[in-house]
Amino acid sequence: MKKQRFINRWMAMIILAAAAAGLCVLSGNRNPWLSLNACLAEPSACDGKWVSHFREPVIGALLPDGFLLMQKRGPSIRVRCDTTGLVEGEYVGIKAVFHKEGYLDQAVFLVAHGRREKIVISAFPALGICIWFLFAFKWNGRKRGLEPTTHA
Amino acid sequence: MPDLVTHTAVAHLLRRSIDLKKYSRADSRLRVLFYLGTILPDILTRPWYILFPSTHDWTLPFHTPIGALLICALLALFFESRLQKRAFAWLASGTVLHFLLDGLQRQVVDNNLWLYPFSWKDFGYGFLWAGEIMRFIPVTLGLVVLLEIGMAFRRKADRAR
Repeated sequence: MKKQRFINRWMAMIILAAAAAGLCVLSGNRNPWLSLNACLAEPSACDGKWVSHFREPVIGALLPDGFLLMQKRGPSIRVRCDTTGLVEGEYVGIKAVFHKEGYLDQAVFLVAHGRREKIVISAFPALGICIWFLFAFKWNGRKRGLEPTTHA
Repeated sequence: MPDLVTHTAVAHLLRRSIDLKKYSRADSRLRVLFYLGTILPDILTRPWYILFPSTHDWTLPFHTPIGALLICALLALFFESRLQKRAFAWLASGTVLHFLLDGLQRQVVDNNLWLYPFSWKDFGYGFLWAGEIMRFIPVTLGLVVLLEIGMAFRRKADRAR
């Protein structure tokens, strides 16, 4: 009985892990966004289409008619827009129309002021909760599972 | 997404308010799972695609209720059998709270894709622009401190009785 329960539990774990992996594969291969990288690889296919998928986009440099959008580990591109309120080096949430000549326009964007600070301050509760979790539970080999420690 | 300080503080405000009504010693030992649940969708996705942006599409399902709840169930199975259901309940309620809070936020690109990858509908109710929530951190933390002071006074009064 105990052994059967143990097998059922492992089966459930395998099924859940497979389902999670399946979701990842589905998402990686079938999503609605057109990415800048895909457009730069095939410019004519993306001409005039909305691009909304960038790799951690940052305002690289302000230009007379817009700005240079830089991606983390990806190519950069010129964005034609009004530069009022833009700050170099800030992250930006953006979607814009791609042109095969190699620029974006009609950009709808939001400068993510303070995103770096947000990442840094978010690390503290994440770390704290993970440490708390490690102290709150211990593995019980006999019961084959995590159980609360006495001081939790 | 709101920052994790806001997520954790709101989770704390909710959980402690429940403590005011009913304090269960058994569940208090699992309370860390509520906090873990409330940060789970972000810690499963953000570090990966901040460091490796090309992983965004592959990790995004963990920032949806379906994917996150699957992981909650998987984590709960690591607990001894009599704790599994309660562990899942705490993790899942923290996760649901995470998505409810995320829904408050408006973004240029769709962000609250609760049924992704089966549907691309954005379920957010967007009251605030991304980043604006950070301005409320002092208020949220202030509320946490006030609640804790209130709880301390209550405990003292209970002991005196």
